[in-house]
This record gives sequence, structure tokens and C-alpha cells, in this order.
Amino acid sequence: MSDISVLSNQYDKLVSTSDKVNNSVIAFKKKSILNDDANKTKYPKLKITTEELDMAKSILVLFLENIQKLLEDDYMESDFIPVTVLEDYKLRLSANPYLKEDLKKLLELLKQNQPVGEENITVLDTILLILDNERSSLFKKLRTARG
Amino acid sequence: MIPFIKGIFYDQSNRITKMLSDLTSSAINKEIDKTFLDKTVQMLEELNVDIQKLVNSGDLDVDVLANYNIIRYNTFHERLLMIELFRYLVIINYDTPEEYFKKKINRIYVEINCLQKQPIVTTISNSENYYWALPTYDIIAVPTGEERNLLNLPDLYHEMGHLIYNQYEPYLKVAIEANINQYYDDEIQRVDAEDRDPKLKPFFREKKSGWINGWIMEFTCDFIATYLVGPAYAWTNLKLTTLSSGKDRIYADSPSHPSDESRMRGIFFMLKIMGHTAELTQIEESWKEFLAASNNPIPSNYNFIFPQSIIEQLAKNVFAGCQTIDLRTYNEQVSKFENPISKILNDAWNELFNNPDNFHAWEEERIKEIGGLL
Repeated sequence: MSDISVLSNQYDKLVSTSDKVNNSVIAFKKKSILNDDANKTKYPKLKITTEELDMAKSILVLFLENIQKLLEDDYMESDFIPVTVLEDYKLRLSANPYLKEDLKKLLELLKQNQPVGEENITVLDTILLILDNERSSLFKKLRTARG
Repeated sequence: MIPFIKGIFYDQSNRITKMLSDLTSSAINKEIDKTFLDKTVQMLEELNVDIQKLVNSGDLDVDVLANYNIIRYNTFHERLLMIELFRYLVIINYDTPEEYFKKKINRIYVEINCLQKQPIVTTISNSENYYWALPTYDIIAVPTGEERNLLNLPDLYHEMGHLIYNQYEPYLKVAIEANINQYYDDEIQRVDAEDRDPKLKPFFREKKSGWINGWIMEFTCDFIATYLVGPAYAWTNLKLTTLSSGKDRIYADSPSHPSDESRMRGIFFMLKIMGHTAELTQIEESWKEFLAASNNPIPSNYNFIFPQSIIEQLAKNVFAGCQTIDLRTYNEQVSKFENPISKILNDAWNELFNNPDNFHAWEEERIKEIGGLL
């Protein structure tokens, strides 16, 4: 009779999103690091392929477009964020007054295949942090539901 | 920072190695389901491979990736805890009560004609967390010492319902989601058309989401349990609802669970479909008195949250779905097996009402009897 079945499904959904977005941001971060030749020598194992970047881009575009919609007043649907944390997630996103504008710029760059620089990655870091917090708190709920 | 981050990933990997060593030791109870044990070992090994891949990728050497690597560490940590909490501990704590429940659930599955693989019943829960199921892991948890009780056992059928739902969802809910969407879409349209309070729009959206993301499943599991165990499930649910009443929560819903009041209405309708008219009259009477005595507050617009028409439609769908997958109703079990476990649970409630002073001795006797039959 506990919440565990529902929470576990929702946690799995959030982990999947969190993993995909984190890995996509890492892909862009790697690309940015490797743009500097000195880093290629400093980190010889570090690599990123065009396919990995394309995949990262397509994941981020869909994900960020959903955030844009969520930042509108009434919109409460997401294929990425489970319903249990959706309201809190939306609230945390809305707390950043510059997010809408920064997101718009980043999405334009991604859609037009323009290079994504450090200043654009900052907005992704903010979103990732929120996502990480939501995932941790949902996990805590899942663990507590079990006792 | 780099050595520290690398170090915590190595620590994680070491912990997995120790858990794997425990799981392959001879101290593990031989009765534990081999597939469950093997799958647990496999999950730990896969996690270890993922950690090793990351360690070897060179990503951990890049200081500007530290932040992202910490997120990765946390995700691996949660994955490890999930395995530990829901699998490793089940295996390590597997003992006599679990062996008893294993035999009992085998018998129940034969009685109800469920062809699914039986779940592991573990006693790692407690009275507060009560019964819970994790269908993706094939486990049902019950409170420690629960092998000595009968009155809560109807809830085991509800938890089995979660596993059945996991496999047969489309057969059970059929087109109920479309019905629910239609109902709330109509109500949302009426807000504009009839100039109602605009705050009703987000209210309706929230309730629709509750139905789609959790309530359908919970109602369905109640219906399955009622189908399988009959009136005893209603009494057990009333017992559980007593706890909510003290917190004024009989009419309250949560994102995962419908209100106790609506669940009881659903259970009553299922009993009606099944033809338990006499028992239904008795339980309904107690329920009405209970509602009046507990006098819990009814939230505004409550009639739009759990409309009877949707509950009844879902109950009909689940009844038909249970027939399609060939599960035996409570009455069919009694006809075929004379004294199935579901019958003993109904007898338990009758004994409690008719001879409460003798109930403890009666219950002990029945539990011994069940043990002998297993």
C-alpha cells in the first residue's frame, strides 16, 4: 500500500533524463575543452566524436524545448520529468529570471549548428543542478517510502 | 580534487566487490530464488563495469569536468543503494519467515490460477511502511513478524495485483485513460463555457494527472484484490482507513494514491459485480457509521476528483480483464479448493466479529494449519 511502485517508476524516468542530459552537457564541454590544442596534450585520453555531439544536440534540443514550454504559466506536461517532482522543478526553474532569455539563445545556437561556448554551457549547468537536486530528493522519498 | 574524485569511484567499486563476495558465499539461504540472486549479481557486475569504463575513459582526470563527474558519482551511488535496499538486503535477510511465505505464495498462485512467476516475499518492511511491492524487482515486502497475522494478509493480494498489473496492464485498464481524458477535457471546457472559477482548470489538470500517473494502478490493484479475496479485502481496507481517519485524510488524495473514501466505493462496486450482496450490506453499514463517526472534512469539488462513473467503468474493465487472463474469483477458488487461503482470510474476519475473545487462539491454530498444508 505504500507509494513505492509509483515512486520507483518515476525515479527511473528521472534518472534516465538526468543521465542523458548530464552526458550531453559533458559532450559539449569536452568539445569546448578540445577546441584548445593545449588541452589535447594535457588530456590525451579525452575524445569526442561527431556522432556523440549530434546525439547530445538532439537530446538537448528536445529537453530544452520542454523547459521553454514549462516556463509558460499553465503548461504542466513533460516526457522528461516525472509528475511527482514536476511542480517543484518548474518552480525552481522559474526562480531564475534570466533563464528564459539564456535558453532562447542556446536553443538558437543548437538548432543552427553554431558552436556552443562556455557562456552557453553555464545555463546548462544551472539546469543540471536543478535536475540533480530533484533526482536526489526523489531518491530520498523512494528510500524513505521503503523504510 | 582529481585524486579525491577518482578515489571515491574506486571506493564504490570496492564496495560492489564486497557485496558480490557476500552474495556468492555459502551462508546464503539455499531457498532464495536463483534467478533473483543471479540477476542481483549481474546488476552489481554491470554497475562495476560502468564505473570501470568511466575510470578508464580519462574523464576523471579533467578538472573542469569535476562537477559533472560528481553528478555521475551520485547517480552510481543511488543505483548501488537501489540494488542494496531492494535486492541485496532481501537476499541477506532471507530466512524461515521468507521460506514460509514462499510456500504460501506458491499455494495462493495455484489457487488463483496466476501463471506469472511468483515474487519473493520478504519481511524487511515494518508496521509503518506496511506492505509494498516493487514489480520491476519482483518483490513484495511485508512487516517483520507478519507470518503470524491473518487480518492484514488480504493486502498481499493487492501487492500481487501490482505484479499482475505490471504484466497485463492493457487487458485490465482497457480504454479508461481515454474516458478520463474526455471527462476532464469536458470539465475544462465547461470552465470557459459556463464562466466557472478559472482556478478549476489547473485543479482538473492536476487530478487528471493523478489518475493517469498513479490512481488507475492503485484502483486496479484494489479491484484485483477484491476479485481474488472477496469481502475480506474490504474489511482489511476499512482497518487501514482507520489510520487515515485520525489524520483527517479519508477524503484526501496524494499524487500516487486516490482517497480512502473513493477506494472503498470502488471495492464496494467490485463486490457488487461479484454478487456478494449480503456481505456488502454488512460492510457498507459499518462504513457509513465509520464515516459519520470519524467526520473527516470533504475537500471542495471532491465530486469532480473521483466520479463514480469512472470508478465503475474501471472496475468493470478490471473484472473483464481478470476473466480474460483466467484468474479465479474468490468464489471459484472456494468451489475448487474448498478451503483456499482466501477463504481462511474471510473466516478470520468473521471469527473476529463473532468470537473476538477467542480470535487470538483461533488465528494461531489456522496459521499452524496453513503451515501444515504448505
